[in-house]
Amino acid sequence: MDYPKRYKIEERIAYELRTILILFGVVVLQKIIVITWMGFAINLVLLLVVLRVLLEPMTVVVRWALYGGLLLDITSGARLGGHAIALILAVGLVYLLLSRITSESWILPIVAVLVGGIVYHLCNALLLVIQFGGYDFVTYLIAVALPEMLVVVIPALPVFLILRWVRSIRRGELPLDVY
Amino acid sequence: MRDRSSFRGNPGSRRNMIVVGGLLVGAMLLFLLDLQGTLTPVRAYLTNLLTPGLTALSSMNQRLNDTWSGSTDYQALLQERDALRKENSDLKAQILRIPRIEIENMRLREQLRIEQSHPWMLIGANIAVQTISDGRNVAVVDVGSDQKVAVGMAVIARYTSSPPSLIGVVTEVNAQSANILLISDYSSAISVQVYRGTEIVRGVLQGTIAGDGMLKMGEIEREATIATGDVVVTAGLTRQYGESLPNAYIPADIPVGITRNAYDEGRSNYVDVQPYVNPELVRYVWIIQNDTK
Repeated sequence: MDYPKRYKIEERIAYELRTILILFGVVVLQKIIVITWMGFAINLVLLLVVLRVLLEPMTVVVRWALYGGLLLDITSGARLGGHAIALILAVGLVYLLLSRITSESWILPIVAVLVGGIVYHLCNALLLVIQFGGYDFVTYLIAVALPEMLVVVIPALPVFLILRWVRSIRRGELPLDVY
Repeated sequence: MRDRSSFRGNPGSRRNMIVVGGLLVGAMLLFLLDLQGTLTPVRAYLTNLLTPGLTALSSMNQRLNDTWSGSTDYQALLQERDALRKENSDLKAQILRIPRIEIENMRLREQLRIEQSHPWMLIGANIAVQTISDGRNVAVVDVGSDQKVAVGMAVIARYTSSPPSLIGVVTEVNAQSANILLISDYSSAISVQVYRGTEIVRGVLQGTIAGDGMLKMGEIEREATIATGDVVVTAGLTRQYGESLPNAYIPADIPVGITRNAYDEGRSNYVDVQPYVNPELVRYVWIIQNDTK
């Protein structure tokens, strides 16, 4: 809903509230459910926004990044805006680098998640330094960034295919690639 | 089915960049304002708003997980047709059916046992959300200033047969919730000591970014000796320098862990410390409100 036509203000508010509610569900899934059942954390919000930017208009996804980031901040006891900055930058760079490539390419989601993950963790590392001072960046890279990026790459393709399928249904398209 | 709606070259591209830039500046502004403390009440209000729901979801999820683990064990045991194990599984299933009130009763009895053997007054708390990612180790609990929790109070927990041990410190308090900085977080620094006969070796215990569960004890005197297996407890040094300092609530002699490996880095001595309790595994904690009972 990129407001291609003029919507009433109450419709816009209802849409934004629905978005926040969906993202709250994703945050709960990420921070409570996945970690309990699988024993490790997957950054589902990052995965979702980075994959959606390959399929949906940028202005919609960047708002998802902002809301998702703020919800992560609130539920983590982190400074407001920290996660949001990292997510918006990740989405922005993925859009700049990969938006010219057709969403039918199966390697696209994996590259997008890797690029998004690198930007996200670089930004996160920088914000940690700003807040708490320096640390061994190589250890952060090996112990935090790399494992978390690898974990988020695994579900990238299936989640991307599901998102693409949902979009096709929403648009009333034939959910098959016809050549 | 080619998707060209989000191509960079489309007419909306400039607008996209304006929206991204605007939201990015907005997020940065929020971050800076929160860093200065201007937005702390807003964040506190939002955290308070979400914590009860998150606590309920967290305990429901934990119960479901426990039940599922129990049922898969049970199925595996049926396949093995081992009568003794089957009986064990039935007993486990019965334990899982213990009503919530009995669990609370058990926790309170444990709290009473700890309070009887230590001069501490405790406040029990559920962990609503734990963040063990992005290089951070923090948690949010469902008690706050309404329950007289204050910044700097020590948070302890038990896991299996461990003694009640330090797992973190309260860093922010809202009315119905509080943020805890776990000892494994790299920004955590707590004064600790090791008793060696008549000698007391003091140092500062820090978390590491490595996330391997080990803590790092530094600021140790050059001549001091620490052996593997020595018990590390809190030193409570902050209080000696002033009651109003951030960690002044942390009393001395709370068990923290056991020393493992001593090594040198430049001119400084360091010791790896294995904490008694892995904070990641804990779902229920106690906050030490007072140690002069």
